[in-house]
Amino acid sequence: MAINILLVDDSAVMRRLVKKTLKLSGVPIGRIAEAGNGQEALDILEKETFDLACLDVNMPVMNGAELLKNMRKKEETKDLPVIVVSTDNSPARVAQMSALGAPVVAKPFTPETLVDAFVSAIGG
Amino acid sequence: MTTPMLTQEELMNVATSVLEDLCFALVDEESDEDDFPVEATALVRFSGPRDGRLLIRTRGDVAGALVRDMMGEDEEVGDDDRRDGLGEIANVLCGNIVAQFGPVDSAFDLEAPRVGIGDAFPSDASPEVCATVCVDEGMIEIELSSGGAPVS
Ligand SMILES: [Mg+2]
Repeated sequence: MAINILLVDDSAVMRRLVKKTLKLSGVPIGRIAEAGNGQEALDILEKETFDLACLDVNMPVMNGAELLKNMRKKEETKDLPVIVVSTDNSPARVAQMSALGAPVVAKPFTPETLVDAFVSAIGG
Repeated sequence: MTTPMLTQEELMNVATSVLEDLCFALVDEESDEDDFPVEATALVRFSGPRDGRLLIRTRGDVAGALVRDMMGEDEEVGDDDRRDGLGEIANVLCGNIVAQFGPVDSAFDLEAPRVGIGDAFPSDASPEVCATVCVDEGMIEIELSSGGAPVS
C-alpha cells in the first residue's frame, strides 16, 4: 500500500531532496503534499489525512516544534507517525521531539538514515 | 568572560563536513585564484543558550554549483533554487555550528535564512571567528558573530 506523506520544510530545495530520496528508496510512496511552514501544514491537515509527516524545525511563521505540539493536541493527528528532519539534533531538541513521539534525523542526512527513520516510523 | 563560540579550526571542520555531506563538495583550504567577485550572501540569526549570527559570503560561481551538487545532476536548478538552496546550506551550517557550542539544556532557535545577491548583508566589524573554504568554483567566507544586535 502506498504511503501518503505530508512534507513540511521552508526550503523548496530541501523538500525536493527529501522527496527524491524517498522515491529512489523503493518504499511505495503515494501522494506527497508540501507545506512551507507549520501553519500551512495545519491548514492541510484540516482537510487531508496522511500516513506520515516529515517535519523541519527551523521555519518562519510556525516552527516544527510548535507544529508538532499542535498536532499532538488534535484528535485526528495525535497519533500520526512523524519524523523530524532538522539541522538541530542537539540532545535538548531530540529530547523535546522524542517526548512528542518523533525521532530526529539530522541534516545533512544520508539516504540510508532518512529511509531507515521513515521505514521504522511507518512500522516497517 | 564568556568562552569563545568556536575556534577557527573547529569552524573550518564543521563547514568542511557540512559541505562535503550536503553538497558532495571537494573542499580545500586554499585556492589557486583569490580574486573571485562576491556572488551572494546568506545570513542566519540564532538565539537560545547563546545569541548570534552566521554570515556566509560566496565568491565566484559557488551557489549554483553547490545547489546542483546537492540536488543531483539530473535536477533543474533555477535562480529561485539557487537562492533557496544557498539559504538552506546556511541554515544547515548554522545548526551544525551551534551544536558544537557544548552541552546546553535548551535548544537553539534559528531564524529563517535571508539571502541576497552580491554583498547584501554587511560584515560584522568584529566577528568572533571567520573561516574561508575553497571549492572548485570559488570560495565561501564564513563569519560567526555573537550578540543579538539587529541586522540592517
Ligand atoms: Mg528550515
